[in-house]
Amino acid sequence: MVHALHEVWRVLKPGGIVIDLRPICVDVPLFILTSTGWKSAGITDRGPERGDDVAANRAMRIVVRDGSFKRLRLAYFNLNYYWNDLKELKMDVEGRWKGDIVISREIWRHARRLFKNGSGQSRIWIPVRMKITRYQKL
Amino acid sequence: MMSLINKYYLRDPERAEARNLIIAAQFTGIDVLEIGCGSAGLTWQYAGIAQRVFGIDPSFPDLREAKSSQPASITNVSLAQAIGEALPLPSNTFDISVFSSSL
Repeated sequence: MVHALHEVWRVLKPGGIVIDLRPICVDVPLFILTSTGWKSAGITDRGPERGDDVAANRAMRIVVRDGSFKRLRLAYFNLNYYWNDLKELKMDVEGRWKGDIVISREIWRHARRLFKNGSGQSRIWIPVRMKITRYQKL
Repeated sequence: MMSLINKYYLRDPERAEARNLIIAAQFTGIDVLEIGCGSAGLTWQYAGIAQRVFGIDPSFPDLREAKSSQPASITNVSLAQAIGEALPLPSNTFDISVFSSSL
């Protein structure tokens, strides 16, 4: 990662900007949306991804400390994912999100119960917290 | 603009990611390097306001999908298979580099 950041430093013009956009690997809530509102089924575990997040933070700290970049601005926002049913969410958790997120049996059970109570109008909502940081080439 | 809807789920229908990226990056009239562009779902949302965009990703299938979903109105984007550690690009070329969930 540090090597990639030094490569980016090379191809940037003087005073150029790096934008680091990525999810924050904190535990993320799983909500069931119904026609009358939303209910939390519990907190998912994004622990498996945390190692990558720590490594990226460390790489940025190194290139700031070595004088390649300075940090200008940090902001946060939510990026929302929606599924039509729990079977579809399960496919993603066991497929393209495999190893990134863990949903316990207890949360699945709770989510199924809430989903059924939604009278056929339920959807699943996972808001992922994102951070966006702006750095300048020195 | 490409559809954000795939077979069964919606990712960021509010376009919060593109909106926040555009605020942070101020793309208007500048040259952008996007590292980890994937299938370019985010790239197509901001490319129209940048001068020129060069997107790289190590995944050839993702890049193929990106090219097949390129809006006809976007003509200032080049895509290449590459990794951030070895950029096939000359020095002092870009105003901004974006790591889109790829650092």
